Amino acid sequence: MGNLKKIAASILLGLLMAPPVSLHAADDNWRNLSPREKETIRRNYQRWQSLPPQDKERLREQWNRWQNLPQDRRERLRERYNELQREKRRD
Amino acid sequence: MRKTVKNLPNACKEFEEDLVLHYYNEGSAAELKRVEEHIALCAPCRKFSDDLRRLLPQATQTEELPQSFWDNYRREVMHKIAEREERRSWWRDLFAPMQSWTVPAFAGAMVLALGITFTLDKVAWNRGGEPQPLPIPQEILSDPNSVEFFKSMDLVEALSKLEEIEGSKSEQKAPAGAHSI
Repeated sequence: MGNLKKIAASILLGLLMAPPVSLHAADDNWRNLSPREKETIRRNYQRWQSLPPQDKERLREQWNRWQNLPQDRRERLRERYNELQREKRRD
Repeated sequence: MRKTVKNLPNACKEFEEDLVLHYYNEGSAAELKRVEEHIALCAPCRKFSDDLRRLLPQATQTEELPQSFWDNYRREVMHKIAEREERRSWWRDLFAPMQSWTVPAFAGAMVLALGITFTLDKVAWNRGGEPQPLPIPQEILSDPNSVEFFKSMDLVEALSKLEEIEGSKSEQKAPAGAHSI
């Protein structure tokens, strides 16, 4: 009975401690980003919020496809994307 | 008051204990008989036995105490009990809340303290020149996959287009390669 109480107390304490730990992890993730990345994330998140559901779904599918691409292909596509961005800025 | 018990006369050393046992009628019948036979023949032991019969009841007689003694005794006991209760009550009051609700209350206080610590930490961090945190939910920021998604969202949106360009570039390269062969 005493052990049961100890286990229950440990679980309760763990549950109570979990949110602060996750908040701290989120803070760490955020702090490790560069200002440019932070700005991109902020902008994309706000854009995401205003997207219609079908666009969100399409993006999710694209994201899954992107994640399943081989590493070298992803790198090539990223390079291509960066090139296009640079060209766009030049124009 | 206590009555003084006169010293018992000397009896035969080896019979002293037996005489006392005889007085209390303890021991085997043979032993008692042996002592009785000795008493009949030995005057000091007979005297000793008589004195036992006379003095022992006096020695065991309980002393009658006056009512004032019992009154004082009762008052003193009650006073001591009250003192003890008083001494115990202050720490009981102190630890009385350490009952069933203490553990969750303590856990709650700990969580609150941690929450305040994290909030203050965040505020202090922001004051240090860091841009104001975005209104992005913490669960998204705590998930590296979600962070990566929002970081690469522009690219992901353009994925099909990029693949098309990449494909057409590869096609352009391929005939050139074929030609060279």
